[in-house]
This record gives sequence, C-alpha cells and structure tokens, in this order.
Amino acid sequence: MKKITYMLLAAIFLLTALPMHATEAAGSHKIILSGEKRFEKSAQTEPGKSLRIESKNTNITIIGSSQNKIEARAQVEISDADDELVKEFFENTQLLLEEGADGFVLKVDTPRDKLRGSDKGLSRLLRLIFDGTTHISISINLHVTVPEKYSISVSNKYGDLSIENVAGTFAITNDAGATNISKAGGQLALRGSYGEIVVTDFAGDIKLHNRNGVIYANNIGGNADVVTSYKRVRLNNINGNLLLDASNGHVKASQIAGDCEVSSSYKEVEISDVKGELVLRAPNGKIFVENVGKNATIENSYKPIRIENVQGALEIRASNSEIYAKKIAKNASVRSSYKSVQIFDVNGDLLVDGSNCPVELADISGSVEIISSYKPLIINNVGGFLDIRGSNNQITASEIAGGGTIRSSYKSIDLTNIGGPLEIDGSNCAVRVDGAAGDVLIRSSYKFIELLRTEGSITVHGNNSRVEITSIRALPATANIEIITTYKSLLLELPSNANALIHARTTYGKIKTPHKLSILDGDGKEVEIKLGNGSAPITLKSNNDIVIN
Amino acid sequence: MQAFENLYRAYEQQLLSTAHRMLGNTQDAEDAVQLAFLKLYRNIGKFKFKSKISTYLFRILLNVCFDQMKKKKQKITYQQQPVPMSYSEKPDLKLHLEKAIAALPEKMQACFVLFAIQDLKQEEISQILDMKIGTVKAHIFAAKAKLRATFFESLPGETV
Amino acid sequence: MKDKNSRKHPEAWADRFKQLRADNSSEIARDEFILDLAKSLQEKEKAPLLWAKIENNLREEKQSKAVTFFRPHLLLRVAAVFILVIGTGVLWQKFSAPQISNSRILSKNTLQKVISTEKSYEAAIAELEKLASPKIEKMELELMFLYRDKLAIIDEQIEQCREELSENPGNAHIRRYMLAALQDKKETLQEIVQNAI
Repeated sequence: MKKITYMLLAAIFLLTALPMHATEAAGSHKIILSGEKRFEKSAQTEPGKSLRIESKNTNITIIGSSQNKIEARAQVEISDADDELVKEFFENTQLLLEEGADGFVLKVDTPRDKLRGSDKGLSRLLRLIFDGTTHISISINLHVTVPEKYSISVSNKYGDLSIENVAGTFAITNDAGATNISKAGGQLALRGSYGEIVVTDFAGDIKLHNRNGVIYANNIGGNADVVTSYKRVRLNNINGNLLLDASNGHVKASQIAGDCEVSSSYKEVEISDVKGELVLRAPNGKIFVENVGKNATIENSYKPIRIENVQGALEIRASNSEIYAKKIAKNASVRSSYKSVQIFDVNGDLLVDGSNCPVELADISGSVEIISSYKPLIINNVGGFLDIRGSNNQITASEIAGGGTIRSSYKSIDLTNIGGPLEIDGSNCAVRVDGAAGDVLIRSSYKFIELLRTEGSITVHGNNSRVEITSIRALPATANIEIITTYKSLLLELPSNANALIHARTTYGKIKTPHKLSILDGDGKEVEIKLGNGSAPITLKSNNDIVIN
Repeated sequence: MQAFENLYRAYEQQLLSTAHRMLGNTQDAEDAVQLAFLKLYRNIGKFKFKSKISTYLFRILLNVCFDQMKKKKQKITYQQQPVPMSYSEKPDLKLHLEKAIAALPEKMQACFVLFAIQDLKQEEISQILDMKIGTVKAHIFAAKAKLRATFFESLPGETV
Repeated sequence: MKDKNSRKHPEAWADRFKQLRADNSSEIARDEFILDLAKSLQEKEKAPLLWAKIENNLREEKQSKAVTFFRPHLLLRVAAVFILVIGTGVLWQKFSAPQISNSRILSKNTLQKVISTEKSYEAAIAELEKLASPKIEKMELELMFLYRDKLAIIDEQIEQCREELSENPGNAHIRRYMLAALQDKKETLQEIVQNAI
C-alpha cells in the first residue's frame, strides 16, 4: 500500500514537475553545492623502495626529491545538491599512506560507494528527477614527493599523471588521461588509452602502449617498444632499438641508435637517422626514409616511397607504389607495379621487378636486372651486366660496362657505349646501338636495325628489317660478322684497314660495292670480296639490295 | 561483401588445398574454408595490420583445421580406400606422400603443407602459425626427415 | 635437379624414386624428390558452390550483426524521441570543440552547455552513420577492417565515459574525454563519407 502511495505521488509530481525541469531531466544535472578539502600524509622511507597508488578521477603529480620521505597532499573537490551529503562525504574521506611488505600504498579513501546508495525510495526518485542523478561529482588532485630513486606503480583512470625526476621501475596504467614522464630513468612500462603519452629524458628502456592516443618520446636512453593506433607518434633520439606498431598512426621517428622496426598503415611514415637495420611495413602510407646505417627493408602498397642514403642493402616490396631511392651502399632489390621507379647511386647489384613500371636508373656499380613491361626504361652508367626482361618497353641505356642481354618488343631500343657482349632479342623493335666493345647479337623484325662503332663480332638476324652497320671502330682478326635479313636493304661499312672475306647473297636486289668482287653465280646475286688477308669471315644475306663500303 | 568475394577468389585454391591436406577430404576442407570466412567476418575488428589479410585468413583457417582435427581425435580420417596399384604394381607415390604428410604431428604438418605444397615463404608461415621462424624451420626440417624415412626406408622395396 | 616432366607422368615419379633408392642417394636428393612430389599435390581444388554458401552465411551474419553496429543505443534513441517531444526550446548548437574551463567540477551552467553540445554531436553522428554505413561496406577490405576497428575503439571509449559520467556527472575531465571521443567519432565518420584518409 505504502509503495502504491509513493508511486502515485511520484507520478503526480513527475507530471507536474516535468515541464519545469524538462531540459534537466533530459540529461542535465543540477549541481548546487561544491566543497573542497585538503589532506596531507607523510612517512619516512629510503631510496630503492616502492610506492603504489590506486586511484580514480585523480590528477596525480609525482616528483622525486633528495629527502628520504614520502609526502602526499590531496585536494578533494566534490559537488552535490545535498549539503548534508557533502558534509558527510568530507567527514568520511581520508588520505591513506600505508607501508606493507611490497612497499607503500597511497590512496584517497572516500565514502562514495556508501553514500551513493544512501538515498532510498521516494527521496531517491525525487533526486533523480530534480538532479538527474543520485551520484555526487568528484575530482581529486594528488601531489606526491618521493626519494629520487624509487619505484612507482600507478593504477588510475580519468585523471592526468605527471612524474618527474624519479629513477626506478615504473608500472603505470593510466586510462583516459594524459601521462607525462620527464627527467626520469630505470624501466618504464606504461599502458594508457585515449590520453596523450609524453616521455622525455628517460634514461632506460620504455614500453608504451596506448590504445588510441598520441605518443611523444624524446631522449630515451634505452630501447623503446611502442604500440598505439590511429593517432600520431613522434619519437626522437632513442638510444637503443625501436619497435613501433602504430596501426593507422602518422609516424615520425628520428635518431634511432639501434635497429628500427615500424609498422603502420594508411598514414604517412617518416623515419630518419637510424644507425641499425630498418624494417618498415606501412601499406597504403606514404614513406620517407633518410640515413639508415644498415640494411633497410620496406613494404608498402599504393603510396610513394622515398628513401635516401642506406649504408646496407635495400629491399623494397611494394605494389602500385611510386619509388625513389638514392645512395644505396650495397645491393638493392625493388619490386613494384604500375608506378614509376627511380633509383640512383647503388654500390652493388640492383634488381627491379616492376610490372608496368616506368624505370629510371643511374650510377649502379654492379649488375642490373630489370623485369618490366609496357613502360619506358632509362638506364645510365652501370658498372656490371645489364639484363632486361621486358616486353613492349621503350629502352634507352648508356654507359653499360659489363654488356647486357635485352629482351623487348614493339618499342625502340637505343643503346650507347656498351662495354661487354650484347644480346638483343627485340621482336618488332627498332634497334640502335652506338658503341659496343664486345660481340653483338641482335634478333629483331620489321624495324630498322642500326649499329655504329662496334669492336667485336656482329650477328644480326632481322626479319624484314633494314640493317645498317657503319663506323666500325675495330674489326678483330678473329671477328665474325653474319647479317641476315629479308625484304629490306642491308648496308655494311667496313674500316679501311679491314681484313675480311665477305660472302654476300641477294635474291631479288643488287649487290653494290666499290671493292673488287668475285661473282659466284651467273647473274651476280652471290659474290665474294676479299679485303686484306681475309681473316674475318663476313656473311651478308638479304632479298633486297646489299651495299658494302 | 565484394571485398570478401575478391579475397575468396584470390585465395580459393590455396585455402581449399591447404584445408584438404590438413583434413584429408574435400568435404571437411570446404566446411573449414566456409567456417574460416565466417570467423574472419566476425573478427574483422581484431585485425591489426601486423600481417597481410591473407595471412590472417590462413591463420584462422588453420586454427579451424586444428580444432576439427582435435574433435576427431584421430588426427586424420583418410577415406579408407585401398592404395591403388598401377604401373606394373608400382605404388602410387602421391597417395603414399599424402598419407605420410597426414601422419605428421599437426604443427609440423601445417608447416610442411604451407612450405612444400603451397609454396609459402618461411616468414609468412611463421606469421600464419604465430611461431618463430626458427621453429618453422625446425618443423620443416623434421618433417622432411620423417618423410624421407617413411618414403625411402619404410616403403616395400620389391614393389618398386 | 628438378624434373618437371616427372610431375606430369606418375611412371616417371616411380622411376626416379627407384633410381634414388638404388643409388643410395644423398639426403638432399631425396628431399628434393619429396618436395617435388609434394608440389605435385597442389592440384586444382574445385568447389563450385562454396562461395554461394559462404555468401549466404555472411549475409545472415550481416543481418543479425551489422545492423547493431551502426544502430544508436536504445537509451539514446529514447532520449532522442524525448528531446523531440518536449525539447521545443532546445536550440541547435553549432559544432565546435567546446571550451571546458580548467575547474575540475563543472558549474551547473557549464554542465548544461556541455551536455547540450554532447547531444549535438550525437545527433550529427547519428546522421553521419546513416551515410557512412553503405560507404564502409563498399570499401577495400583492409580499409573497412581498419575503420570498423577504429569506430569500435571510439564507441568503447564513449560507452566507458558514459558509464563513468552516470556516477560522476560534473567531473570536467571525464566530460572532456567524452567530448573528445564524440568529436573523434564524428570526424572519422566524416572521413568515411568523404572517402578521404
């Protein structure tokens, strides 16, 4: 019966009071009184011991001092509509500093839980209607000084934490609050969520794990192990190894004394001045890397990669990424697709596996292997051998010391100053070689084949290709020239001092030469010419005209 | 849904083949792949970009396979068909190899299947199975030794 | 030495096996034989109906789960209806990061402003969710996972703040984190809608 009366009263009251307090009942809260009280505690201790703080809704400041004691000051602020409750709250609140087997424990003990349930029945309902809550609002400030060498353990939520000038072992959990640790040392394990973490001037190893918050670390004396997601990470001057997992965070790391392993995605990653090895995985994020002391391995997709000055080997595994690499001290291997690949100054061998990539390379001291298709390839100054496995590439290469094998189709191949043997398999490619120190073998069709300034044997099989070989720089006694084409004319210009025995045959054309010739058949379609001692055999065959100068 | 279909189309063969080698028959393999996709869908929030999506999917698939193998207790239930003899009574070497692989301990079996049959790199296998690369190498080494012994020492010589 | 032809002809496998055995060959040669034979097991698996089955499964799962992903909390919906019915005097507040003073417990007036701003964010988020939901479904798989994970983390933060505020309504720190989370969610949804990350 009593219950029904209360409910009826409450209902009537609710109906009349609701319009007046509509906005408050929708979620706002009526905070009328507020109060503040200060507490202090201290205890003698000695360096090397530990303090544990258990708290919530507390802003904590911990500072190391030269004194051998713990001093704690708490400032508790509450707010509520009920002045009796405020009074009762403070009467029952105390600051506890207790020493146990594991060290000191510090906490602010409040009667919150007890008072929270103090309102009963109708008064609770009325408070809920008028104030929007039966709960009091509270916030605590805690200021603690400890000896400079002390271990700290904190478990806090919804408050900021600051630690300064303390060296020891730190085990910190601070959720939904900013954490700032500076001028400290030892071992730090810090776990947070959502709040910003800032660690500066820490002499020791750090482990930072932030669920979804910004991380800054500067001047760290040891290794850094950092995990966060979606937010910025800035790390500078890490005197050990860096292991960073920043899922979808914008990363900037510099001056890493040890090895560096970083993973992120979709956001930009900038790494500079790593003395050790670098392993970077950042799919879909722009990558900038500068100055790596050892090997560098990079994985990416879709976004550009720019890397300069690697003292070790470089490996890039990318797809659809534009790549620019410069100054690589050892071998380099680059895989990408569709976007441009530019690599300069490699002191070793280079492999470019770039399906559909335009490629530009220069100053490679070792050999170069390129696998690509459809897009132009420009190569300059290779110390070793050049191996191109392409199709439909326009190829321009110059100053290739070790020679090369080149396979392509349909587009032009233009080579200058090839220092070693050269083999070109270019179906439907126009070929021009200007300067070849070794033997040359060319197979192509339909397009013009032009060779200048060769120094060794020459073999050209050009189906339907016009062939011109001029300005031969030297024709060694042991050289062998064989030029066979069909339907198109053939021109061979020999040096004036050449020693060669030329055998030329045409099916439908004419053989023109200023040299003395011997006709081998009745109508002059097959002739022989002997120049000097005739040591180098030369075979020329075409359906069309053959000109020998 | 399109993204899931693309993923399925890209790895269909490898997934089915891996599950087949692990579980020994096509029906269980299809069930495992189906369940793996469902689990992937349910756990998309847990994917953390430490590896490729395909690696994550393979890990789920292998865990599904391990679960099924445990449920069956008996590690593999190869259909009890007689070993076909052909080519002048020579043994069917492929079938013998399948059986020998099926008899390997499950982690070793997974390492060997991914390495030797699916042609994955050891680094990738270590990510899929969440084990150190050294452990992967050790498993593959041990698997080869076991298979060598099974093949070259246990198969009856006179039938060859 | 890998003999590709032997992969095609079972008889060749047997011959090679016989030879290796007769020669008392090295472990390496025997390993190579086993690895080659193992590669030949990579046969094409055919499961023509499998994708249809998987798709069915996923659609069922989606119907039961995906809807809840973007559905505002029941209390929020009730609150929204309540506001619409009685809140004729409530003015739309402009979206801007609210300034919360440094005092640790908010005054009544400030608190009302903050709560009102929270509601503005929630309304904007509800609208954005409607637009973002179809976009996220069409995203590349990895990006979709990423956004869903990010939104799940933010939702968790919002839920935790909400729970904490129900017990400590005037605490400025929690209100600040609540607003930060709402703002983060709004910006993330805007990013999804604009499809620019």
